[in-house]
Amino acid sequence: MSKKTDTPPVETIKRVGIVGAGTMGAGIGQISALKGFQVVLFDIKEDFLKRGRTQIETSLAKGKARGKLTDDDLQRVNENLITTLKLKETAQCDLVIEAVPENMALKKEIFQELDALAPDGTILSSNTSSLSVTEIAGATKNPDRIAGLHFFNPVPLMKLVEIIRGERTDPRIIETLKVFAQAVGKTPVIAKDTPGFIVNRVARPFYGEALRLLGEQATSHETIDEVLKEAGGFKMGPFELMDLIGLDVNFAVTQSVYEAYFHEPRYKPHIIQRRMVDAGLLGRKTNQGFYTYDSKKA
Amino acid sequence: MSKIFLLGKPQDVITQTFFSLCRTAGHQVHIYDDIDDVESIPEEPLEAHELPDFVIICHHGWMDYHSLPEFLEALSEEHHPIVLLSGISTSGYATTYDTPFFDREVISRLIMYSPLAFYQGRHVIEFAPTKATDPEALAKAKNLFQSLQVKAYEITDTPGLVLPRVLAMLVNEAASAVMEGVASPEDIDTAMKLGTNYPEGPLAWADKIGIDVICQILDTLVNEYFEDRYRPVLLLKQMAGSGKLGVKTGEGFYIYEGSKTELEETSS
Ligand SMILES: NC(=O)c1ccc[n+]([C@@H]2O[C@H](COP(=O)([O-])OP(=O)(O)OC[C@H]3O[C@@H](n4cnc5c(N)ncnc54)[C@H](O)[C@@H]3O)[C@@H](O)[C@H]2O)c1
Repeated sequence: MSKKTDTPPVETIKRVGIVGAGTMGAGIGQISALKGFQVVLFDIKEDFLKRGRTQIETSLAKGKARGKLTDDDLQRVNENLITTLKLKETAQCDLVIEAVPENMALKKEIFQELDALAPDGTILSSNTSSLSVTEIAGATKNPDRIAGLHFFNPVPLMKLVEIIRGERTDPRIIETLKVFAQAVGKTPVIAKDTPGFIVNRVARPFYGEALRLLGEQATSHETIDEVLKEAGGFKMGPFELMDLIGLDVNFAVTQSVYEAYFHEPRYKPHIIQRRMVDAGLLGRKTNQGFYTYDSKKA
Repeated sequence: MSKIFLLGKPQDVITQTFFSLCRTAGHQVHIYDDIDDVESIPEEPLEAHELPDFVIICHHGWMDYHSLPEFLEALSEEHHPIVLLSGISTSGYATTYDTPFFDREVISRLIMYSPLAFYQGRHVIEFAPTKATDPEALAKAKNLFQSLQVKAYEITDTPGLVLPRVLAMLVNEAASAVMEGVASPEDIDTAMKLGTNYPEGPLAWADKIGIDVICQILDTLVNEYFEDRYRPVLLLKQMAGSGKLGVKTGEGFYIYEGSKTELEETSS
């Protein structure tokens, strides 16, 4: 595949297009607009755009109630953020951030469309947390203008952004994304496109070894959590965290890293995960995981 | 009040922490330095009133299969103190099947423990009796922990217990990412602190504990489980082998200059 033109990638981001107004897309739109960027938020249905707006309004209202945001801030987000049902409008930006559901076929399709619609120089990025940026980029004509830009949930609170360098990503883009991440108040780190990037890979043993200890009946899950908090200073134990993340989500991430690394034994999932998922014990969202939660409490 | 022998280097965090905890609790405490220091082994068997109630092994210099029994024998042939064995050291596992060196008397008074939390200034211990530890010895050890005012958690005898095992594997994973060029040590530590709220980046944490100690925990896991999963990545072994042990040698994943706690990022 050859490059369309020799236009260099944009160096200064002013307009940000976001594809998908879900949990992540709305969150990224909110912080970008708050920091003064022009945001064009796209989704496939008016209802989804409305839902995205509601999420943003709720989050801003909370920020205001806590004294973290002013009326000026709320107004600025309002002025800077527009929504659209036309992908072309979102593509007419300096930077496009894709945040549609985690599905490779869908992402490839969207990047092909974006690559065709966006002006030369526009940087295209994906918020994917587990798919290969190289593979997504490989489906387009200009893989050099594509990178990963991995925000964490909830976007307004989480300080980290992983910038993912695909095999063919233009290094100049990485620098521009670094400046953008800092401008929206985040701390960027740079990772090569490898399964799980940094966080979802390095965190694997926290769950994997805890599950093995439990499987061998070394002690109870409560004690494992408590020892890691008391002796190690971790804010939450692995079993509390799995309950919070959702056992299904955690199991899916484990499996995807394990598969992507061709069954490297360090990433091997544990039978306890599968049994719990099979049993529908998914953690907080089902009121029962490793711990039991009171359904009356929010 | 108990009589306690600490087997470890006086400048080591673990030895120092135990020493001050024992002193505060009003115990009589004596430090025996490295086994190589022949002077430190009592020449004459000690008098009955000088014999220790507890022998706490703090440092891996003492974990050699020969030196510990030799030391215990040198103390007295009839008296058997309760032995607390550090689970973060070479052969740091109490009841491996090829333990030829402990006689039954010793095994029945043997308890494995992990002092890893001391490196962060946390007075927390995990401990595990062997399958043959005498309940009375276990009860006495629990009383000792209580007197030292450490939070103590009893675990089933497992290589690496909880924190050493989980942390060593986190470090191993982070080191493999460094080795494969996924990201810089600084970015990996930042990502783990901000992305998942870890109290310290795993690599800076490893530097504090010692790359050699991390390798020893992993070696124990490999030796006991015979599983690939636990093998230390090459980078860790190379660092340990070339003296890049972390804070204590001035360089590990980061470079430490002047004040040993001051962290300076490597320019590479
Ligand atoms: N939720 C998290 O915790 C989290 C964290 C980090 C990264 N991510 C990643 O962010 C991405 C989005 O996740 P999410 O949790 O926001 O999902 P979500 O389901 O909340 O939102 C996805 C949005 O995309 C829209 N959409 C679906 N098909 C579309 C299409 N063809 N074109 C445009 N929009 C379309 C949906 O209507 C929805 O609004 C995923 O890649 C996910 O892996 C999620």
